[in-house]
Amino acid sequence: MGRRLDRILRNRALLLGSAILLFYVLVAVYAMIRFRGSLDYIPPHPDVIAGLLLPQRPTLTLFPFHLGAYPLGETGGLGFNVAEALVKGTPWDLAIFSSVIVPTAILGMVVGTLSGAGSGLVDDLLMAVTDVILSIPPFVFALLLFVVVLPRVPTELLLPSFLLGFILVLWAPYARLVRAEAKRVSRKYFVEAAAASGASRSRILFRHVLPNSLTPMLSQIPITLSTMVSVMTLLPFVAIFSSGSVVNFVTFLPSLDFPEWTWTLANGLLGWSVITETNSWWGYTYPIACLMFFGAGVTLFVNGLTAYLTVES
Amino acid sequence: MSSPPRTQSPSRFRGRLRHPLRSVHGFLTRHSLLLTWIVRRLLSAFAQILAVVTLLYLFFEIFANHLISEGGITPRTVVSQWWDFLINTLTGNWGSIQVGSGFTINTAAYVGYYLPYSLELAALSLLLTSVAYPLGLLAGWRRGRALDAATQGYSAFILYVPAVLIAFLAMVYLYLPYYYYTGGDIPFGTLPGYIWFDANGGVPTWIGIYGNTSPTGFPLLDGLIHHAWGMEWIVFLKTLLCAAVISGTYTGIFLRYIRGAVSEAIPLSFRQAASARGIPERRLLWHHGGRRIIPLYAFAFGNTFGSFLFIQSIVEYMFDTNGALYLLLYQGGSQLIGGAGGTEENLLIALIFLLAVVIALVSIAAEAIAIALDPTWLTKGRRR
Repeated sequence: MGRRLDRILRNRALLLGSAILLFYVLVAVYAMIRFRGSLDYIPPHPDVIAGLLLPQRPTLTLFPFHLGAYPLGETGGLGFNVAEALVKGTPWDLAIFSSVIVPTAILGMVVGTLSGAGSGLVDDLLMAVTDVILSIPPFVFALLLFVVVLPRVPTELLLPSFLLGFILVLWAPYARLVRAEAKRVSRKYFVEAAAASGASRSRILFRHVLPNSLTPMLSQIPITLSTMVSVMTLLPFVAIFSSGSVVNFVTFLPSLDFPEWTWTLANGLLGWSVITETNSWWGYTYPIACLMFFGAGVTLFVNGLTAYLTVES
Repeated sequence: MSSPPRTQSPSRFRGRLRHPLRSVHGFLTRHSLLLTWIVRRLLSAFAQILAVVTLLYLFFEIFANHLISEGGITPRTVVSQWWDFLINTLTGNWGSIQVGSGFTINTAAYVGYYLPYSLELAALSLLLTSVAYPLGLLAGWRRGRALDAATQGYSAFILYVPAVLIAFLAMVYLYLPYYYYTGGDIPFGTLPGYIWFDANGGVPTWIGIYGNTSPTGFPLLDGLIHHAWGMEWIVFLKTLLCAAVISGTYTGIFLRYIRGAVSEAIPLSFRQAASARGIPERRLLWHHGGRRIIPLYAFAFGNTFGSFLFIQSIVEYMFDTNGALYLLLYQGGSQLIGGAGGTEENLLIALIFLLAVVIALVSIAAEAIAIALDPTWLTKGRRR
């Protein structure tokens, strides 16, 4: 136990990643307590929507410390308070990302293990399905979901449907990685020893092969997260720039004033102007920083965990 | 040693002649493993394409409710409609789309107008991306050094800053410098803007509908053919701008895959053995290491080509180019607002189908190159 703790304490990536993720969890808890009752709503600024006002500049000053009404300013588009939108969006985004990453990893893990340790026919069939999924880029699949499926889904099922679409697409790379590792592991002596001692096929699969095939799968988690962020940012952005406004926009969110990081960012981008005086840089800079910091936390955590587990095994 | 006789009997001469069929047989025997692999992959790619078309059918015909509105779904109507959809999609019979008010155009011809620029842009972007070759090699070779740290940092940055933002920020920061440099042209579009043409003798006759240039359709090539140097410079600048953003973003993604794999391709024992034989490090790195990682690069390129197209479509959309991938997002964007339906979906179906075909073929070609250069890939169990 002491040695393990010592190794964890010497793993800087793991510690730093955990600290960043813990910070986000604490912000999420704070948001749920502080904004109880209004967590799913950011009041838009009616004058900004009408184009009568420029978005508010950040009011935060460090010397002397002063928060003000708009610490990180206001976005273009619907005119969200950036700080409020990012804080309120934290619990939702943590839920959105984890509700996609966990099921995709589990689905990919099961398919990959069955394929890697299964017979030729099972392997060929499962990998054929995986190849079909991999041949459609995730953003095209998301675009199809957006265009065709979401307009026909009831509002309360929009977000779950969109996330389900992500899960259906993003499990495939996990399956490929786990399959390759499961193939390697299933040729190891301890698996042959388990088979010789009379262990059942399912026991060998899920007790011996699967736990030893997990490490490469971890490296896919930051890529899944990055794909989600890219697609979730791209879709509102494309829709907004095609129409020039946020009105009549089909969204995967329950409502247009829903606090979500990428949606805040898309609104922030509408505040950009080629003229420096009217360019609301804060509307897109802070949401980008928020996403990047979170991404760095996940990457460091995963890299640290991989290093820890690799040495451990 | 006596030289062989110069005159030979006709029968002996015939025996030594390399018959074309015999050389083909020799080639097939030498590369039988690779050819078997290519045939298998082509067959599986065809199955993938069929599955993609079926998915498109499900999305656009079943979910978009066309069958219900046309008199209800029965297994018979579904099968016959799916078959028609499949044949039409595979044979390029993509119908027509409405462009502007009341003007329709054949979808395949419309895509044809926009395809050359996308190819031109992809070629230039890939040329710029070749910087990843020395970068990845050096970073993987000297792990833990400054270049390795910088490469890792850059990859992590690219991973979490969505490509759409990189393209957006490039547009923000390059807009004014480009505007002043060109004396009033803006960095949007493929060809110079009308203001530039007005100041430079008007739009030439070889630029036609949708900015399509003749005779080849490739704007850079046609500019060269017509010696339109002023326009050529503007088109080149705009293409270079887009290509720089695409390659800058894609290099970050590519390096993430490559960096770790380089040390695997050039193991420590290999280096130690080479050093022990007195081979200088520079020669070891560029001559031996450089050759060993080419298959790895080809393999990684095949696996990340989907990401490349994703980035290119975003950049084409942001810079409002005359490219086919611009159309994909533009039509997608229009339908995000208006909902699916209308003739625009023919274009979306055609573009997604083409995208799936291109991804499958490029992936096979890249992997075939990797296997041809290093046949041990076939026995490593990385691919089926």
